[in-house]
Amino acid sequence: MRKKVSRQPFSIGVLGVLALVVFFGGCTPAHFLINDYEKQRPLSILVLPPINQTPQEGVEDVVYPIFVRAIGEKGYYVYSPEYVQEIFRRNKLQEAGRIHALPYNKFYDVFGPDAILYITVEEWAAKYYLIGNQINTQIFARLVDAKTGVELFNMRYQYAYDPAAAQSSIAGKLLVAIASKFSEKSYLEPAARCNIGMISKQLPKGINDEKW
Amino acid sequence: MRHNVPSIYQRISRASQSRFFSPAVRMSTIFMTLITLSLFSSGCVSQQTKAWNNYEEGMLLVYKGYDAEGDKVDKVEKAFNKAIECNKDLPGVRASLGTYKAKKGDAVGATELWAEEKAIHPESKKAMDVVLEKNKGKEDALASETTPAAEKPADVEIKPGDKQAEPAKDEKKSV
Repeated sequence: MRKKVSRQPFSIGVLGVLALVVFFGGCTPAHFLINDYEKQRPLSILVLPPINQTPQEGVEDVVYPIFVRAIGEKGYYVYSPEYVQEIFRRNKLQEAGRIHALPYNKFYDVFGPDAILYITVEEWAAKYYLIGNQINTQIFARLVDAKTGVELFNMRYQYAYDPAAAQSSIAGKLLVAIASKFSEKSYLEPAARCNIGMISKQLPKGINDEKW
Repeated sequence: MRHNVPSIYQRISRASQSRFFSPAVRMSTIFMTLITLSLFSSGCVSQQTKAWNNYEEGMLLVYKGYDAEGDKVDKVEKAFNKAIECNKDLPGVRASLGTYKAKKGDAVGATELWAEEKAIHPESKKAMDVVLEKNKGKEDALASETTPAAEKPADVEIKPGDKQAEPAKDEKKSV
């Protein structure tokens, strides 16, 4: 007697797996990572002073230290931003645009990093609504091999930071929204942290992620 | 015949009253649990995070243009020193503190810190030597822009044949 095989459980399983793939796949923001990153994984990264393309003053001064921390926490040796900028200053290079335009091999000659991280703050704008506001941020980061100039990783991430998101009540949201309109600068750090956190999350770990 | 099955709670309370769980054993168990919990809460991960928190705080203060005048304790130095205290291997922090000290006029302290950074992190050797090699025996380790070293942008001169970093064209793909 021929046994009747039901295919229903199999199809449900396939659908479940597909749903999981779509769900988790959808959560990963678009980025570029070189295929053999494991082979070319840098030990040290020189984070260059970020270029600020937005009208928001001082955003680069907040983004720079937060990015340095994010890269260091991933387990890469990250050069002191104060020290690096001091060397640039001594060489009369104070504008981030001019620094980014330098040849990549020059950074290797002076500092000796394995890779260079170029950061550009492309958008930083506060939008005001009736109850609440949000800060739209867009940061582009590009990791380049310091010896060959080959791009190892890049990511552009857009994030809308809502200062009142943590407030559950409407009154609380309203209060935070009003306060944030008067002290826009105080939201630079949390907004930058959220955006940079998403970018660094996509960068594979360095060899010292347990140590540092 | 009906069996009286003891509940889990009853089993635990009976077990705890047995000779294997004497008051001394119970006390030591509580003590050990407390020690484990405290170790968990103040373990390596937490110390690492504390170190980064302090390092980031110091860096942000520097970039905000912190002025120590009027403060009993210099907040930047305090934050950087705390970072070193929490994690002696934290990358870059000694170089940052050294640069900060140099700007305040403590060239000797700065040179010591840069030398320490170089010794702990060989990755930084080339970068630290930019200042250490140039300033051997000199007190003005990081001089102002008016010094001859600052006037001469020798380290980052662009020569013919230098190449700009360009995005990889063939290997580019979005993940």
